This record gives sequence, C-alpha cells and structure tokens, in this order.
Amino acid sequence: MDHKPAHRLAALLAIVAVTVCGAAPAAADPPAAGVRLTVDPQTLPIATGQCNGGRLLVRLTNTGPAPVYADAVVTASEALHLPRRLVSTWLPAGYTRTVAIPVVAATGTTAGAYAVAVTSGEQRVDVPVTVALPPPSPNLARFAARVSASSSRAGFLVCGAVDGDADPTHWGNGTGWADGTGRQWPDWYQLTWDTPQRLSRVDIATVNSAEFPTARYGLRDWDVQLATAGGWRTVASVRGNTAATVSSTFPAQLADTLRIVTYAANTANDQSRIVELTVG
Amino acid sequence: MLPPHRPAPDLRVAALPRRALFALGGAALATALAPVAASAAVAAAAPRTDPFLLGVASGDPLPDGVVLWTRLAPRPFEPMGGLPFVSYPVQWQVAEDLAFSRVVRSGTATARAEYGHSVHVDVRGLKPGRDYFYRFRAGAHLSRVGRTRTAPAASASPHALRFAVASCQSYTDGFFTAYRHLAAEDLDVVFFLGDYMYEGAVNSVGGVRMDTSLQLPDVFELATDTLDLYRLRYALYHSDPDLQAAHAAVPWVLTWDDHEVQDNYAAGVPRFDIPADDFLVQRANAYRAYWENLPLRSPQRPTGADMRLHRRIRFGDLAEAHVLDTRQYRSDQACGDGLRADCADRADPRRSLLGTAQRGWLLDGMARSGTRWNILAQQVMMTEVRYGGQPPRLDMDKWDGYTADRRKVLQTAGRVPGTVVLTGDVHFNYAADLRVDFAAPASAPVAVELVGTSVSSAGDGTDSTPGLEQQRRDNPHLRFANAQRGYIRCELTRSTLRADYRVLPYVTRPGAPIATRASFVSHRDRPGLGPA
Repeated sequence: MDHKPAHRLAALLAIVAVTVCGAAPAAADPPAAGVRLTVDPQTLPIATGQCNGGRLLVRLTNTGPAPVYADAVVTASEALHLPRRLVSTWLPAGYTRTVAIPVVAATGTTAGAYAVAVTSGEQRVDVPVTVALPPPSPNLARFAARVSASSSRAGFLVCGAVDGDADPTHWGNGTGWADGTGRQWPDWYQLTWDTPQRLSRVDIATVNSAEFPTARYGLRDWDVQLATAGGWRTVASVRGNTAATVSSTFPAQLADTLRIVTYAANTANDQSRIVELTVG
Repeated sequence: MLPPHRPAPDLRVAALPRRALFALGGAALATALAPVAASAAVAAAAPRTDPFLLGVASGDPLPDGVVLWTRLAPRPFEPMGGLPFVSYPVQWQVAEDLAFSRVVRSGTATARAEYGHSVHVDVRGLKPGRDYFYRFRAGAHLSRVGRTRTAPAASASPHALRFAVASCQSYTDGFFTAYRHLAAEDLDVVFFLGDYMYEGAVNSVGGVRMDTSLQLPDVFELATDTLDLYRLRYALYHSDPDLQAAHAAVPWVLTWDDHEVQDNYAAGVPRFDIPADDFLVQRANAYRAYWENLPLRSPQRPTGADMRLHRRIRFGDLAEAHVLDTRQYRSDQACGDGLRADCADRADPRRSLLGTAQRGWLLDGMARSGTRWNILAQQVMMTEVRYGGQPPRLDMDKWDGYTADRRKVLQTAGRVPGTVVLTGDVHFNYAADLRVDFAAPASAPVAVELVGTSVSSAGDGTDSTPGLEQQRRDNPHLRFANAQRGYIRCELTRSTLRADYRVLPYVTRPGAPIATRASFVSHRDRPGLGPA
C-alpha cells in the first residue's frame, strides 16, 4: 500500500484526467451547459469497515431554461471503495437532483488522508476524505470486516442492521436490514471478522412501530450460528418470538464468522427484518 | 447452464467466412433512430473486446420492416458498459438466409453515448410475412445472429397468427428457463406485458439464482433512481442467455407495467414517500433506460418524463394488437390502493386507468380495426376478481379499481366481435370470460382474457395454492388458475383462439422441462373459453 498521500493524489489526478477527458452529457438534446455541481460535505471523515463509511451528496442543478441530461463522474483514491461512480439524470429547468455516493474504506485500510473528486462538464469539486480506525465499542459488529446476507431489499441493505441505530421508528430510512425474497425461507445475515473474536451474546432488535408492529412483521424464529472447523454450529435458537428485542447468550467461544439464520416472521411472514444487531 | 455473460452459441456466426461478410457494407446509410444532432464525438476505433455481450433483438414488426436493437457494452456491469463517452459506428445487415448470402438491407448506425451506446435501426423495404436474419458489427466484432419476421401485408388474409404472452421476469427470483423453451416455439411475435426489469436490490449472486460466477458489483444493491443505475439493471437482464435467445428468435412487442419505474406507481404518484418532482425525474430516467434497452421506434422515444408507448401492430386482416399503457396516465389508485371492499371511488367516471386520450384512441381503434380479432396487449387483470369478504374485497391496482374504463372497453367489445385481452402482472395463470356486467354471470361473455403467469417472479410456484382455490370458488368466471412459472402460447385462426398454458416445475434451478398445463379455445363469434 502507498503510504504517501501526495502520491495517491497524483495518481488520482491522472485517473481523473483520463476519465473526464471528452465527457459529454447523457443526452445531446441541449448541451448541459447550465448545470451547477455542488458536493456536501466539504470534507468527509470515515472509519474503516464495510459499514463504517460515509456518503457524499452530489447535487446537480439545472440553472438553464430547458430540461437537460447531465452527468457527474466520481473518482477516488484507490484504497476507497465507491459502489457508484457515475450519476446520469434528467434535470428539468430549475431542478436539483441530489444523489448519495457511499464512500467506504475496507477494514485494514491505513488511516490517513485520501481524496475523492467529482466532475461534471468543466466543473470539479475535490473532497478530502479522512480515514480513521473505528472508535472503541463493546459491540463487535462495528468491527466486522464483511457484512453479508442471503439477499437484501433495496433501501434495506446489510449495513442498516449494524449502523448503531436501534430505533424501530427509523425503519424505512435505511437503518435496518430486510431480505429481498418475499415469503421464501430461510434467509441469513452474516458478520465476518479478520481475526477470531470471543463471542458470547447476540442482541437482535426487530421491527416495532405503528406501521410495522412486531406481532405482524417481527422476526419470529431464528438460529444464531458460528462457523467452526466442523461447519456451522448453532449456539442459540429463538422460536415463537413476539418481543421487539431479544438477547441470546451462549458460552463464550472464538469464531471469525457469525450468522443469523431466519426461518419465519410473525403473521405477515413475508420477510426477515432486523433493525439492529449487536454482538458481544 | 451457460455462463451468464455469454450469449447462447446456437446462432453465433463467427465461423462464417469473413470475406463474405458485409459485401454491401457502406452502400446504404442506416435509418438509425437517434437524431444526428450535436453529440458525443465518434470514436476512431471500435471497442477492443467484444461489445455485443447483451445480445440482439427485434421488435414491432410491420409489413415492410422491423426495428433492430443492440447495445455496446464490453463490460456490462461497469458504468457506461465499460465504454468512454464517445459514440461508435455499428454496421448492420439483414439477410434472407442464416448464412447471409442474400443480404437485402445493410447500413451503418451509431451507438451513441448519449443513449447508453444502444443501437436502434428502423429497417424498411422488407417483404411482408417473411423470416429474416440480422446481425451487427463493430470493428472486428460480430454480434450473434437474430431471426425476425415481418408482419403480413395489410391486405393479406393470413389463416393464423402464432404468438406467446410473457411478463414479469424478476432476475433475483429465478432463471429465465421459460425463454429457452419459448425460443424453440414457432412464433410470429411475442407480447411482453410488463415488469421486464425490477428496480430492487440484486446481490452478488443474483438472489435465489445463487450464481457464484456472476460476481455482481455492489452498485446493484442500490435502488435504481438515476439513469446510470437503470441502465445497469438492463445490462444485467440482457446478460441472461435465455432472455437473449428469446430476443434473438422472434420479434417482441413490449409494454411496461410498474417495476420498470417503481412498484405500483400511478402516473406521477409514487408508491413510496418521495416528493412528486423527484418521482417524475426518476420516471424520466426509467423511461429513457427502457427505450434505450428495447427494440422500440423513435415515436416511442421519451421526452423527459413522457413516453408514448401505446401503439398498434397489425397482422393483415386477421388481427390488430392494441398495445396499452395502464401506468403512465392512470388516476391514483382508489381508496388507498390494495384490496378494498365497498370502495365507491373505484366506479367514479372521472377516474381512468388509460387516461382519456388513450381510452378514446383504444375505443376508436377497436371499432375501426376491421380485423377478425382485436388483441388488447396490456398489464393488469381486467376481469373482476373477488378476494373474499362480503361485500367482496377487490384489488384497486387492477381494472377493478377503474370500472368506468372497463365498462367502456367491454361495451365496445360487445359490439365488435373477436376481442382478446392479454394480461400480465399477477404471477398467476388465469383464463377468464369477460362480461359487461360481472354481477350477471348468466349473460353472454363479450370477450376472453388470458392472464399469463410470470417468467420467474415469485420463484418456483405450485400448481395451485389455497388462495387460488378460494378465488376459483369466489369467482366462477375464472376458468383456470395456476401458480407455476411459464408463458402462454396462442394461435389465432380466422374463427378460433387457442391458448396453451406452458408451465415449468421450477425456476430456482436452471434446466426445467416445459409442459402444457391446460389448453382452451374460444370462438370469435361466441366468446367463451372451453377446454381445447
């Protein structure tokens, strides 16, 4: 890994030059001359880990009198992971489209200064990104190197269940995970660490709000499993749950992968819904 | 199963002698659809690696032509398909034979960066009712060969029209095995009735497909909102070998339903809580990606958030297909959408499923077609379906939520013999007799409705479910109900309609065999489905 930020930035600039050269609007219709690019925030602090990243809000505003198509191209230091690096959109006159660009530094990334650049036509906005180690926490889920699931519904991605927000009234704002296969069971949700962790407790918060009552949409049946040399080992089972939060404790043991296998939800019985998962 | 990124090999022609290729190249100018206005620069060289990974397609057959489609994407799952913001010339040929020894039309189109490097060629000058073969070339790269078929002459009296009805192909719910079988049928055309693409997240293994070779990047986990993400979704779908085979085998006539934009949206009203301005921008992006990625002509190309998708396709004096759009112009669902009992608003004549302009266009077209049959290729169930309760609960997203429009359409059908309604949306097979008044089950049917199940959406399925059994009891006019995946194969002759419901035992694994679950016939002058 390159430890000299100046080199990283030089490499980044080279990438930007190549990528942006010849950039054109998504539609020829009228050229996207009257498009203003802004990016928030001006600097982005993040922590390492798949679910400890941040996001930039890229705003494209049509300042002209007629609709246009516009593009924003995002480039970044090689150590950063950006799931999307392009925004193409129609813009009616006077309209501003705001698109979130997730920025992630994988577990193991060297702490330090990195860079993201957003360009649209002739405009360019540079955003310094500061990467730090995650702050200490008794919740080992915050240190997982990889978080995955059997599937995810759009807007309810895996990171929502380990984002530190256990408030069930925030369900729907992307602060929880839901699987993407209606009425198909089982589903699974998995945490993997770079090194084995001493694990003895899993707390699960499922939905519990006026719109999503636990009795109808809450998780009902699941197993907590650890990866062992001999395969998956079930260390706790929950059946017939109607509570909004459930703690499962088990004799402490070392493992680098933990998963929740879900078998049923309450009366709707359509999807797995986890608002927050904490691991101790 | 074939690797997901490779077109099925059957019609690929890389082995043909190169010197025979494109003998007529450059002789004719393409009738490409994209306007040649100010635009991205044209690349000096073709893409270095095979850009034809998304297959080829044809659609909207006319007596003298067809629209051809492809899209350049050497790396389909990267932004812009792995290509820079420059346009590329693409040569095309249409021949009478698979070996391309009798090329009858050819030219050069432009895969414009502004249109996601898609290519639409509106080929004319062909003969009616004939099979043709077509292919594209970019530099040294040749596309696979597609086969297509022009419509019969307007004055012709064809003795039969063979078509398939397909809809609802959620990539993450299963394999598109149905298309492998559909591609082997002898068909004049495929009607695709919506939910070509689903807007939700797709994980790295493609959902229940669990395809570890797919290695889909995590950009596919983001909900589609802007044009770049919609384009990526279409790239995923077009990378499926079975879907490619079906497009390459027969011309398609497509319309959309809701998932091409967002689940259960109505005109400018989103299902979810986002501002109306933002939703219209999302709709504009979704419509544009739809046009770019399917074989549609320039009258269908969207302007901002508006796209004229309803249109007619005529098959001599035998049939006219009225392709409908029940999403873009509809009034918002009555009584809050969903299953509702006792919802008076559903019959409010000021509310419309088609919008007044399209409704007038349809009613007028049905009355004037002069063909033996009128085919209504559309999305949501027209027949009444009671979901239990007293008064019965009805689905406000379907024609049951817009009964004023339904009555007008069925009254017209009562005056014009030979109306066949084709439907998708619900992931079930149904066959239904349509009456002007569903409360009068003894009255004579005025039309029949064939509801085709999903290609993959909702997964494996079963022959029946307790819910379907109950629906059969609550709705005696439903002649058939089935919850497996597949498509309907139909044949129209001068006086009869035959429908074969083709079903698969599973779709979460590849390679399922196909079987005919049920067959029905209806007579043009005495509508009503009976066993074949």
